[in-house]
Amino acid sequence: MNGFYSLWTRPSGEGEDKDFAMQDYELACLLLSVASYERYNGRTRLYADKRAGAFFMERGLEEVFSRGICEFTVPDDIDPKVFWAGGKLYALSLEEMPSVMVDTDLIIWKSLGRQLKDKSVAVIHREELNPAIYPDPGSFRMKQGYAFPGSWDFNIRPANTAMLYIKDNDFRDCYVEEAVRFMRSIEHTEDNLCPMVFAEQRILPMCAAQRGLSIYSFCDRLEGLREQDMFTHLWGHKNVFKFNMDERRSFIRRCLLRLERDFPQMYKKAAEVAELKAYA
Amino acid sequence: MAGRFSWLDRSEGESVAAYDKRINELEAFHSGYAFLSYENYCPEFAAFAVYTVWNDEFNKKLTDPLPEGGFMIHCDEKRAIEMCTSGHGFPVFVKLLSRLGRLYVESYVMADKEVLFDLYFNGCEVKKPEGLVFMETELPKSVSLLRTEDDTLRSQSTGSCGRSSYISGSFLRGSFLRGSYIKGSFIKGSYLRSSYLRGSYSKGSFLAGFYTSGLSGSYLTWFFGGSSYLKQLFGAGSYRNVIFSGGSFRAGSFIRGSYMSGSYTGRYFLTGSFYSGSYHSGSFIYGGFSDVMTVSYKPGKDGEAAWEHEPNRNRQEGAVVRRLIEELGYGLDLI
Repeated sequence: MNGFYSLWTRPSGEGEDKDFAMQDYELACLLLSVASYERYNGRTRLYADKRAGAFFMERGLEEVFSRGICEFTVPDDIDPKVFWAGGKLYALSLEEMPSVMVDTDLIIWKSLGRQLKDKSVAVIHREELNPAIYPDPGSFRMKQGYAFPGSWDFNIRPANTAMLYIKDNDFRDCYVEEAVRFMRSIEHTEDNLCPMVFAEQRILPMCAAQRGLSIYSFCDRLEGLREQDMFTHLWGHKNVFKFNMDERRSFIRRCLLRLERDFPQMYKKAAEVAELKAYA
Repeated sequence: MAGRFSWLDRSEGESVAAYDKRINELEAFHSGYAFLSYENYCPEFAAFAVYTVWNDEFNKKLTDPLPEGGFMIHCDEKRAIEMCTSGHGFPVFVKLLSRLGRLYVESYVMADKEVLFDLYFNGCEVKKPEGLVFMETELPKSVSLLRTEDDTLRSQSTGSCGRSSYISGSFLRGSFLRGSYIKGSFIKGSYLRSSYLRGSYSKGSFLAGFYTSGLSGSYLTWFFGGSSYLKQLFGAGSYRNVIFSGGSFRAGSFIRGSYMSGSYTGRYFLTGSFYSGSYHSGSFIYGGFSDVMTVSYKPGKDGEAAWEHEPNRNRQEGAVVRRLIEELGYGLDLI
């Protein structure tokens, strides 16, 4: 099963004139993620904008992804502050289905084959409809001419797409088109949470329901995420790595130790990268 | 205008390596203030969440500007009260680190005159104290935060302070042990903090770590064990106190904590102020729980315990668990 990652650097806030650099812990996690995915699931590709692509090329990491690096762009009218994960949707539109979209801070430790067999759409877990995060769609200020499709059921639980599997291009197109239409139709806002998660996590299950497709989720209960042994997701823990160097060092060393033990070829590449050399 | 911290900029013609070296050899310096309010203090665990205010010019030079909240120190209640009543902020010193020309904070200390407190970021919540007072405070004569990157303590470490990025040995004992990786068959101490901690025997009054995994042995006892992610607490210790622990608890004669999350398959005694997860069995389970859900013991037909969860009406079920999972991630112990 093919898999893909995406990196869109505009949300990082650094000017176009500056070089983009992944943080050392982000890179360590991504390399471990790719190594594990390629071993247990299949070939990977990175969709990267120009600056992200240059980052990998300069470090000789383009071969890490067995299907290579594919340059992609996100239109200028997508606000990177509001739709910071919008790059994922544009990358998804380019990838041939069936495929698995994997966040760069997510590691999949096992084969997905058995669970994905006969599934149309699969996500890592479902979300509760917390109104603070998923408000009534009527609260979004939309541009004139936009209307939510009448067939959408706003009571459907959102789906977390840190890992997303879609079987066919047809449904992929439906989801991406609606998400992009929403992102382009919202009036300027400072809210950098609710519109993003609406586009990414709510439109997906509503489109699926519209087409009569059911979504498989690996964990139905949030608590279950703590007990499973299939996924590692850094999520908000990245904030601790930003400001706590002890934790950061420890995490990177653990990633490298795991690479050295289980993925020696990837370890060799990681150990040569300037960002990770000090930890190897 | 040059600005007070312009010396932190990379000068023209200065190579990245030279800049890294210059920054990494800097002594710690005063960069902000910490403000304390007793409402952010937890006497049970001697944990004090502090509100920090950073010099804006300095903060903007960092790769990731420091937040106001999320930092913590540890001190006893008497000291906490004294500091809260002082009416002013306490100077915070930082030791900088530069990697490939990017500026980070290596470590932090908060100073109360000559007494230094280890300040660290763990993302804890803090309420902004009212009436922040900025005034000249007495600064300590010297603050040495220089660390030895690859300092390694092996086989045996006994002393009042052990601080290293890697500590490993068959016998580790000290009143202060801190390391990003601590492993040993015998660990004993009054204060121990590590991001990775593993030992077959451990005893002490304070234990904290982000990934405290595989803490196992025939004897295991901590007055306070705090971990953002603690998994697999094995053994037959007589007393355990766990706060902010997630993961799977398996087998134990007594587990007690103010927050515990995960699955429990042990059989003896479990008590806490908040518990969530899935539970399988227990011969005696007690909870005076008021947050999110109520947990109670109910004998089953076969003599094993069953759990009853009553969602708290005042709070959305799962909200706390969601926040913890978002902030701490999940599956980090699988690496």
